[in-house]
Amino acid sequence: MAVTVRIPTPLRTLTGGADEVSADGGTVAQVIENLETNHPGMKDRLCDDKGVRRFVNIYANDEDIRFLDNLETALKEGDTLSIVPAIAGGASR
Amino acid sequence: MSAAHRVLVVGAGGLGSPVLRLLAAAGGSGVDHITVIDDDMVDESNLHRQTLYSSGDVGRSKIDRAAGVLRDLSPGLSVQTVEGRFVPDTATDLLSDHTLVVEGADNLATKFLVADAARLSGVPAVQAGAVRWAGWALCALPDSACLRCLFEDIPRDRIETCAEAGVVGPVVGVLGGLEAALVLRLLRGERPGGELWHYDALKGALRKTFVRRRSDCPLCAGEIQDLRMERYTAACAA
Repeated sequence: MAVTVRIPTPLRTLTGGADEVSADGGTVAQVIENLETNHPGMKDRLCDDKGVRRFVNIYANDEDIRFLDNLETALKEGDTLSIVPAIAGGASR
Repeated sequence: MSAAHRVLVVGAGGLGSPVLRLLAAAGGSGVDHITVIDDDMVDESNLHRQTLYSSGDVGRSKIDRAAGVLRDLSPGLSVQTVEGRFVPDTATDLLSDHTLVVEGADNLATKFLVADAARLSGVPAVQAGAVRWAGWALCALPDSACLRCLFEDIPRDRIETCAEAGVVGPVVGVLGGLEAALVLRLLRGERPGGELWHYDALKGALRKTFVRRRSDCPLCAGEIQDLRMERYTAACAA
């Protein structure tokens, strides 16, 4: 099933600049695997060997997946995943 | 909140500029004193987003110039400047006579330090971060979710996210405006604790979500009881 994934600006280099992409999967983990297939490097930016990186948040329809079933959170067609990384203000651009 | 009149603003840069201007200009909103801390000088590369400053300020101390702008905006406002960085040794002393802190730091180590110091001091913290075209703003009350509930710890293994950091002027303008609005809501007696605002300028999207307290948050669980320097010496702390 297809879900929409909102991509934060630091990760858009992996999606060709796209701020949203469609991905397949019935759980968050499956969606991340699908993202990795289509946008190599994404999984490493989101996860380490313990799960979702500590400074990355993933929201399933605006609910933090840590309060759901984490990577095993079930998704349904049309759901939206939002990735929120820890970011600071920065230098000039 | 009673007598929430003394506001500490950490950082007089891209986020701090709109925060300081808006709070100083807010008149009878309840802010009658602002302390601003920053260690930087105005650089020409700052001017596109740090709206407190103009080209004539290049090379001058940010806090000196900021204080001048604030006093011009609001002659009755009490303004104190602290030239330096917000560091563990002095953080709680600085916070001790303020009723809330607004954070506009440009690095994650300081953001976590502000979160910890505010919680240990029992004051609200309004925080924000931005990169390129997007960012977030969070309000943490002493009994609400905090920055560590949202982002568990300072990134120590992904320095490229900091190295990549750069921000478009209007993004920090919006997020600084959101921070100022959260402050004014606090002063009105509202309790926006846990509100997390997401702004994406390229997408034209502003969303509000709520951060919940994590049961394993070390700050909310009381496991963090001091501001040891090693907690904040991360890759992005420079």
